[in-house]
Amino acid sequence: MSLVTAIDLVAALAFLGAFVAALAIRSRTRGVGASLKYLLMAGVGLYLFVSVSNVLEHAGITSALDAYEDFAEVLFVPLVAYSLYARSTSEQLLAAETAERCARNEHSLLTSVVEATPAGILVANEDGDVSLANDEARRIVGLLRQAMGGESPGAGAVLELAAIVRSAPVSGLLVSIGDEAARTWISVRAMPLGTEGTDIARAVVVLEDVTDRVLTERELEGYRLDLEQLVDRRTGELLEVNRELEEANQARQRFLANVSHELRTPLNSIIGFTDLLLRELPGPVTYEQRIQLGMVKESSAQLLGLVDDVLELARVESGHGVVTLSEVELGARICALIASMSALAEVRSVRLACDHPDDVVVMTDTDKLGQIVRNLVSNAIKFTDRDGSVTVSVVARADAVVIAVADTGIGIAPEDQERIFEAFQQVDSTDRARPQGTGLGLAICRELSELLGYRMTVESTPGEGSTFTLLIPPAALADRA
Amino acid sequence: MYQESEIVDLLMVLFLTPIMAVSVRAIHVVGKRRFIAGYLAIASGYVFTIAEGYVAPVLFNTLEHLAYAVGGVCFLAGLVALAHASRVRAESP
Repeated sequence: MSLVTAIDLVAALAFLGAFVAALAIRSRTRGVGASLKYLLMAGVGLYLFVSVSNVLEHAGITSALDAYEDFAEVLFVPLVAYSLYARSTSEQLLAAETAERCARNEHSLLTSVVEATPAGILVANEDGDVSLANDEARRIVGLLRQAMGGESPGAGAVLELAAIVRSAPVSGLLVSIGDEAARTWISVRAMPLGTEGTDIARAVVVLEDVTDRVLTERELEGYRLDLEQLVDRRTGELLEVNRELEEANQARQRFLANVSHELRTPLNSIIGFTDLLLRELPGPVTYEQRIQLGMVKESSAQLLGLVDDVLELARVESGHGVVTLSEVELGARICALIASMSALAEVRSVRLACDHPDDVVVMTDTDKLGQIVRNLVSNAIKFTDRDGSVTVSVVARADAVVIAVADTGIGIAPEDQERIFEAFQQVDSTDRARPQGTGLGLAICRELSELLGYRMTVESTPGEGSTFTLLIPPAALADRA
Repeated sequence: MYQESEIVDLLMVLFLTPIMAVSVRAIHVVGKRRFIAGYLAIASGYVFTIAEGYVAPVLFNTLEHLAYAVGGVCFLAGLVALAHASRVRAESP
């Protein structure tokens, strides 16, 4: 076998394979698209014929087919050219069909949206001609034209479609139709469209019947005005009541101060003259008279204490308590104060101790803080049995400086622990030997601590004792840096 | 010497190929480059056919048949790819 024969054999086999492959092509489209398969088969078939003819000729079998080779070769190039043309046309048709289908789908979608939307949508040109409108738009335009036609006298501003299109984009335009009794409000928006090769401007106009909204807004505005007037009236009434309360409070303060002052004078006289009688300066008194004069003196002193407490409470509550701040070494100051009360503790046989491990310096009102601590310690001694103890400690914590007055006294029931800070409230005590207080000490402590910006708490277990804690905020720490 | 049909073949190649070159850019078909290679191989075979009548007849005759064989292989490759792609496309939902 010669080289040329071998090459022709390869060519024949390749074209045969190509022909079979062309047969296997599956076309999804008919017509021109499908004909590409047959054109390819024809072109490949021509050269299958040429190569088979060459094999037969060069193998010395027959030259009978050689005469037809030229025709096959002549047909090949035009066939390829036509195939390309057919393919190109097919693709253009396919693209056009796809574009048309997309346009139809989009048009269908747009139409559905326009028809389904509750607002009126229309397309108009600058001459006012409407080319597209949904039902709601037709209804609103009908109302507008009716108003323009003079059938609805007293109509407000009416819609000029042509003007709207010329001035697009438009937003927030509110048009009213009809008289005051049956007015319809239309919100108008417009967006310009392309002219599509013409000189006439077009726009999409959205018309929305907002009558309900406008009426609701007006109604709300009316309510708002009514509400404002009501608030103003009530504010005036409250101010008047507040002023009256303030006057009443001041009158009460004045009354308390006057009464207390008027009580102090005769009480001091009673105490002074009782003391003179007890010292027998006017003359001798009997044993029985001494006992009764002692009771008079003790009761008078108790009444004077009560008057003093009432005066102090009234002064603090009236807001006239003036706070004078100064630097105080708290531990030393408290312990000195405690030392001055040791005589009272000794009378009650109560151990009184002071503990201040930390050297704390605070800015505070010494007199008022002293009064608080004095009242707390006095109370603690009063309600602690013989051989009990009262311990005052001053500790600096991260969140506060803490002054704690702890006793081993009778304690306070949980339900009474808040009540005892109210004026004239006392814990019931069955011990008749225990000195009775005025019920104002803790109220004064609470008022004074609030005046200083401190916080007071109590923890107590009945029968075991109580701990009153005064929390001084860290801001009160003196800056000695 | 040349035959008249061979001259006609060559003329059609020379006139139609530039026109087809413009069209072929616009179409999208799987194995396009292999089809173009096959067409050019066969077109070059036409040139070799005429050349063998004037110079180195054995060489150009061999080249002519070789060009057809190359064209056949290229068309085979292109059509196999196209048939495969059409089957995949036809089976896709």
